[in-house]
Amino acid sequence: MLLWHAGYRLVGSSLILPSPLSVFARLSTLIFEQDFLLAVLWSVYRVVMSLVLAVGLGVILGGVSFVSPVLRRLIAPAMLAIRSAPVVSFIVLATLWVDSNYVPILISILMCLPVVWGNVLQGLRAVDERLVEMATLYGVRRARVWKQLYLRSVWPYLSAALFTCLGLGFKVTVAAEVLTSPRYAIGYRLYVSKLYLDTEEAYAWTFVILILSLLFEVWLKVFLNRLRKRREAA
Amino acid sequence: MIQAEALSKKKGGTVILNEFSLEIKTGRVTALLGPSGSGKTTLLRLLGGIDLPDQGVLRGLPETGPAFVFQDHRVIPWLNVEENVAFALPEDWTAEQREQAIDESLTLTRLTSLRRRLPNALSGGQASRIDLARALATGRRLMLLDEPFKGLDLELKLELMEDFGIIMSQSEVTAVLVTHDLDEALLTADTVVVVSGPPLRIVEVLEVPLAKVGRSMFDPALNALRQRLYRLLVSEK
Repeated sequence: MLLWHAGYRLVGSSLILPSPLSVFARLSTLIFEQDFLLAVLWSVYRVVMSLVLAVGLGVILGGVSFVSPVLRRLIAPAMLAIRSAPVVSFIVLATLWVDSNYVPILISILMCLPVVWGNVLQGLRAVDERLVEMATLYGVRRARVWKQLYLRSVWPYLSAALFTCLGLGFKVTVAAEVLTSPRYAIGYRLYVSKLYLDTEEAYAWTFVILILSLLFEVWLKVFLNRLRKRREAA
Repeated sequence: MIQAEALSKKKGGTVILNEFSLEIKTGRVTALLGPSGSGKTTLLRLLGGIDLPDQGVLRGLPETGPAFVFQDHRVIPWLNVEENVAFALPEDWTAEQREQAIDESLTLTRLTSLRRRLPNALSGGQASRIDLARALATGRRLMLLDEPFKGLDLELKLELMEDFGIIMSQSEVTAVLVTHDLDEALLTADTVVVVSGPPLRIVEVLEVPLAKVGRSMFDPALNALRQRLYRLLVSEK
């Protein structure tokens, strides 16, 4: 905050860098505006939906790629293409096909999917083959082998992917919202504040995104810890 | 009696087994003693059904399949001792059957008080007993052990071998143990099959006329056998 304030004094233009006090003052009025909650809820909905769908799809595709080398050879280039192509291209192309309300979800899924897929595949490959051989020799059922060996091996990789995707999800969703301008969205509000040169509001919205991202990261940490403890106690 | 008849096996162009035959008495511990790379582990893998022979037959193997104790102990790090043992038990067993099998195997391997501990909270010796406990709990009549005492320090090795002797004396399991260590063979086995290779061949079969429990490295009878085995192994080099 001190650094920010010092920067503000140094720049000397609130149009470029407003003071922290003026930003928080704008934020305090912003949160009581009619559309604030709608914009936040819609953006959060988009992030959560995209995360859930990307994880679901990534786990399925990762599992399929592990089991079938033929399918892996088909899926891997697609993942590489998604990873390498510019996000903006996807956003522009997606607006031709999808309602602007859902473009950010689609874009966020596309950005998170290769991360989840890659981590799941890596986790499955990291399973100790000697333990799988032992299970096979004792005729342990496939379901138990997957539950006790493969899922446990994937878990740390999937957790890491979740944290990466949560951060990525917020960034990509808001960026897509800026470019597609859905009616209720943090990104849209950010875009409008920039149009009207309302820098304080732009900073206030950025602060909201940071806080949301942080809150979700803490929640995810607590959730995963609880899940781990419950599994250990079971 | 388990019979291996004229087993042949090639690996990467090398003949590991060439019409190899062996008889293994049931309810006894048979040690396959020979140098590393002679083909002992290949024979063990054939007995265990992990690999199939190119030619030859195996007779008298129990229908349930064998239990295994591996050289590199196969312990699942995130499961506690009891769960590790339970992992290999047949799914169609009742809860009482499972409980009884686990209790008995943990008692035999002296792991009962440690049943809720994770493997990383155990000493090396305690952790290496988990494999044995798992093998015993399955109730399989044939146990295949691939250098189970390798890499352990002498004190721990002696302790484990003594425990193994006690366990084997209390069960009717047929055990086949692969080793290149003279003392391991003499302190644990009823029959020592000295082998050489590849291709694997039997140099001599020796009976150890001592009880499974309470064998001492300094027993005169054992010492005489040790000298004989030593000469055999040196002459085969």
